[in-house]
Amino acid sequence: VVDAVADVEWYFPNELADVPDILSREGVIPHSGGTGILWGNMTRIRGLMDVSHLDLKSFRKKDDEIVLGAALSYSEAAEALVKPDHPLVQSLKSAATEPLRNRISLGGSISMFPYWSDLMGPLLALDARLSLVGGAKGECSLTDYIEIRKLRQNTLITSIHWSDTPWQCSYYRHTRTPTDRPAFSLTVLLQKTSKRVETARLVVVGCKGRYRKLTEVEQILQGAELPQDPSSLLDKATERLELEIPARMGFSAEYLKACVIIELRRALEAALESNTGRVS
Amino acid sequence: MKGMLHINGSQLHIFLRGDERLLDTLRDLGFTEVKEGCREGACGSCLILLDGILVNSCQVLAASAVGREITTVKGLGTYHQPHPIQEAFVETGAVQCGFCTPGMVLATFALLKNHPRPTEEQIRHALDGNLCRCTGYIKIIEAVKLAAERMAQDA
Repeated sequence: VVDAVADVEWYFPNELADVPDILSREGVIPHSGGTGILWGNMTRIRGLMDVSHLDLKSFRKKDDEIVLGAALSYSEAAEALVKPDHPLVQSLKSAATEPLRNRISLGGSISMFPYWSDLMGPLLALDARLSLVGGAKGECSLTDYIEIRKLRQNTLITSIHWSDTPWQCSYYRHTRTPTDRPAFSLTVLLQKTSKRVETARLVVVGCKGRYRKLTEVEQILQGAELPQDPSSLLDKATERLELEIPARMGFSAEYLKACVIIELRRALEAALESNTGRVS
Repeated sequence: MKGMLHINGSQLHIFLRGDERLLDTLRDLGFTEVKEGCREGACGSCLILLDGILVNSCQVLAASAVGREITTVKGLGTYHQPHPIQEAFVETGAVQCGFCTPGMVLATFALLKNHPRPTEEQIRHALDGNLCRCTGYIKIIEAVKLAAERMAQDA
């Protein structure tokens, strides 16, 4: 497809102020790493706006917030976050392969959001917010960005931010081999005291509708007292799970749903029982 | 569009199509040590260093590489003056058909730049984007360890 299209015009803005005008032109989209663009259908693309001259590779802590520039590659973001047990670091380091992790950018990955995205589960669980310029400007939640089409049109993501709160966390991706795209991924974040679960955030990516926050399970967990034996709490939590995962990669839908339940139980069991589990 | 590519220390003024992949540009210019494998970013045959960072040239649009430093495997060493990594690959028998070797050597170079004494886990992680259909990877991992040892001694 790529080799059959008419020539594509390139734009190299140096200032964010130039972005809205460039993106308002028909068929012009942002280019950061470009891997997603090459995977897609390029026939509708008339122009590409290279973001490498814009200052979108920063990492900073602002008050209790972490702010990542949208042009950071997966490798750069994982290195900047430092904490090896952070769910986002786990997901970024396990996605794709080393040369692709060096090229895929956070912003591009969010705007494309394929069902196999490793990035989106942790970001959704962290309640990440985005800064935008172009067609939409200002801030919005990641959830709104996914759901509201207008926020994505002629828009450039400039940064991603979330509250830097400690979590008991785990990230799981279901693949046949380590470099596969995941059939689904599961992110579990938990905050608890010595007596009870305070907050739970659970996200599955790869299900029908691309992702689901498992609010029905979160509700059961939140406020629940920490039991000696978590089995009954886990039974109750997973019984309520309503999830549809399409059959893919040789796995049946039933099998994948069973895998989600098993991995969810494992992650919650580890988080509930352990005082020394992964805290990021 | 017109642009200048910096490849292995040389500067080349060329015309590029806006949708051209860097892999095709490099091979058309004669840098055939950059191998064409899957064109999907899965095999690692086409690896290059772009501003010192390991990338699949099949997954890079050439226009985005204008003005940046490109290094192919021939930029590391020559037949008469091979790089220690290239010597290590030959000595350990990590080369069979040789198609994956340029990518393997560049991935090793990128790894050792950041981790001069890598663990086996770090080696496997760094080479996870390189497929070899001949060797079974054991000799390749040995080659990376040998290269790391030699380069640490030289340093």
